[in-house]
Amino acid sequence: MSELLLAPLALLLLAGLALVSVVADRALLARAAGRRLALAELSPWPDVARLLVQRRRTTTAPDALLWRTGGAGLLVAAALMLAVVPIGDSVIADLPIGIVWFNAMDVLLWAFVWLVGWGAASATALVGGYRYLAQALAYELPLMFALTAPAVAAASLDVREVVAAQGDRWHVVEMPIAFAVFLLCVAAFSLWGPFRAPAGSDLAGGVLAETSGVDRLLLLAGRHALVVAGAAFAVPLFLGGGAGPLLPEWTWQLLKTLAVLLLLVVVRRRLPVLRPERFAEVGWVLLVPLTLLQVLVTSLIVLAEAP
Amino acid sequence: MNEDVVTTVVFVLLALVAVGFGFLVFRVDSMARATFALAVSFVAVGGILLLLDLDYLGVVVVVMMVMEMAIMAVFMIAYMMNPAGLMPMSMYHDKPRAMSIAVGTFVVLAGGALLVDWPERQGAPPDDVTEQVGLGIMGSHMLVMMGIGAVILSTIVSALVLASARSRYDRLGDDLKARPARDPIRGGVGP
Amino acid sequence: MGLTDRLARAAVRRPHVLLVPVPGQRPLRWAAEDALDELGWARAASPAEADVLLCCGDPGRDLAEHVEVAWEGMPGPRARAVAATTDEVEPALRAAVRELADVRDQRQDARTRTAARLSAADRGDAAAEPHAEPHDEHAMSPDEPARSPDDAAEMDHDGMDMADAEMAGMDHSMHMDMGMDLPGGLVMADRVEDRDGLRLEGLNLSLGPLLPGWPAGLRLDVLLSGDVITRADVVRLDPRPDPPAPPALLALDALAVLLEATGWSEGALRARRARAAAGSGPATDDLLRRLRRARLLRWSLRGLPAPGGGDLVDHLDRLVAAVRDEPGLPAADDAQLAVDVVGLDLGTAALVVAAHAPLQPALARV
Repeated sequence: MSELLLAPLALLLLAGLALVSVVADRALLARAAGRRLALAELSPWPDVARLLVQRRRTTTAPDALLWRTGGAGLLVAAALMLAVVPIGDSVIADLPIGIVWFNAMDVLLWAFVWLVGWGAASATALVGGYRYLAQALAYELPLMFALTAPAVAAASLDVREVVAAQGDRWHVVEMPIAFAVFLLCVAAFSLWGPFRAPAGSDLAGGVLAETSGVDRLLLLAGRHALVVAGAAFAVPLFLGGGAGPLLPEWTWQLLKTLAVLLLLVVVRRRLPVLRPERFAEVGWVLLVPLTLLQVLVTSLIVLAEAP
Repeated sequence: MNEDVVTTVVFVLLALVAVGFGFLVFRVDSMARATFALAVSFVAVGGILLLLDLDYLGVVVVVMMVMEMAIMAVFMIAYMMNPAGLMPMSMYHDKPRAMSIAVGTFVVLAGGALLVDWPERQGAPPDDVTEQVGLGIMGSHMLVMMGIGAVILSTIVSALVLASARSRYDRLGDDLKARPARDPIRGGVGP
Repeated sequence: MGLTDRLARAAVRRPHVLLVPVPGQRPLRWAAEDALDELGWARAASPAEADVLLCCGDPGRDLAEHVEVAWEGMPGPRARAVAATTDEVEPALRAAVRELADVRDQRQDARTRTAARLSAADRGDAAAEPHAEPHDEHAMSPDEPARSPDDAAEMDHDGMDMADAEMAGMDHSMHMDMGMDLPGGLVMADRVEDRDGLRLEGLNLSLGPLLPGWPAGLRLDVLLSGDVITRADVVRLDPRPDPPAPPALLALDALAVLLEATGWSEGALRARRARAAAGSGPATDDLLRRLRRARLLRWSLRGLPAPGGGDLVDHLDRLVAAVRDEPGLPAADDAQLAVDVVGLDLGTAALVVAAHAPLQPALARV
């Protein structure tokens, strides 16, 4: 497929899947509340319209440049993450280091979310921004090691080669811990579900506290976009890309992405919010050794299977 | 030909961004802005590495530097007096001497880079430039280098343990048997 | 014109409501929460997010001041409603929605607000902000009201920043050794020792009565060092006793508030539905079953001080027992709360307050 068409297609897919995640979320919410699942209930249009109509606001002495940069940054990071995900046969950015690129994009979020918290010049927003850094310190190393495992198995950092290396046996079978930690970290960098403490309601919305209107819409859309990008990246890395019987590759890829996405949506409201200070110890004392062990096991498998 | 022009233009842009934002670090009043100006400067350097086909190094530079800048922002704001930039302040001291040394060093280094008689390239760059650079720098001492990495990590961990005001005995009592640990906040796992 | 109206109509289908619980009006709060659950409207966590401000009853004088600040912090379009009885809740909400949908009205409101700010700036009135004492710096948003992007081009913002010196969290009654006056009337913070032996900025903050899930009329004036509370004072605004209610329902209410604070909104919703179903029946059993299995919830609540001693996991068990009509519902103790939150960070303190929340001294007596 032509490179020129691929980028807008990818963005379209991003938007479409984000919409699916929002609708699924609303469906779960409605079911838990005992309301009927009608179109009016599931449609996210009222929420979007509400934010479009709402006026923007500001605070005394904010750092507007940093604030708005951070706000727009989430969507940008999500789009850039998607650039290395193979869509069908082609990739927007055929980087030989696709996995590290994904890592770089999620590290950019450290900066963006903190900037949103800082720029608002509000106590609760600032605390939210710092909470994000605390959480990020805890999940970043496990994420890096979880990304290393498929790279070791495929002996390459190129996402397409990782897909090719999976063949019959998907990576999720031989490295389930890496898969689980990866999904956990996707939720964590997207401020999703149990990791939404930086935007938590106990802090009047945390980093979202002082935003309204379009700025808020950008942030919320960014969160959904990040989850979609993370789910989309999990498929080529752990779930064999487009591999599957009967149906064409892109269908399988889409189905698998949807499955991962729905899993993340289900987790979102099920679990209580993890407090960053509790999670910090979990991340360092539990997840880092686990993921290191996973990489060790993967390396042993690679050595055992080497010709 | 076209590609060369594009590469040169991109290089010039990235170079200007790198130098310009680096200079901005000293011009802005806000510590947060200074930190992230530095981050942008480093990202531009990462971009230049990408232009040199050193993909891995370029992206790793971005990863490391943005993480470091985010943490540095926390400390800059904790320790510096004008974190939000609400007061105008000047970060220059001994301006004449500092300026002449800085500009002089830049002229010498840039002049060297431009005027040195660089050898002509013979043949094409290898397939995996990063691997060649790694081999060229570390060569036969690769194993030593990897070992040094582990040693550095252990040193950092030991330094933290030694520097910490509270030891195992503070947390777990003299016989190391107190459960739960006497911490100001409870950790997630472990005692 | 058609597009604006269409947008406006869509925008009011699911407004976010900022609920103002009033001390002594517990049934109204319950009715409002049930109405919101029924309608599927979200509860706003801050005025920035809210479209509708709903007062559950008539707020007293002190609480009304906070309500005004929150009202000012709400960006347009916005609407305000007061419900005096439980029957009035839904009509009030619907009336608010009609007000929201009235585009001309909202534009007029926007113009009036901007004009008021401009004239305050012209007067060079440093005390133009409604409240200059610390108590208005509640963590909701003691900040500027919205400025519409269209009007922005016509106004000079710098002047307004100077004049409308809403302290965005800095306190001028703190140690003034620095003596530096920053733009916007902000002051440098002085440093305070915190629980870990660090010296971080001391910030006087009022965690206000309008935070989501906070007990009605409770304000926590804290001295923050970084984000750790080093000193706290509990202030009850316009205290009034609530009408009595069966302990099972009170326990379900307490559970709902606590679960909402922990972020398990599904659990909180089930607790509220159980409460609406008068505390018995399948909804309650379902909730209790889920609570028994909620390991992650218990893990996250361990080690936090609870009213009546023990930690929040014990408190959870006590509430579950009270739902089953076994005695043992703890009483609230404001003095103990002020001691308990010291050394906790903001998020953890919010949890502790949420546990303390719906309990009042009157609860100890059945």
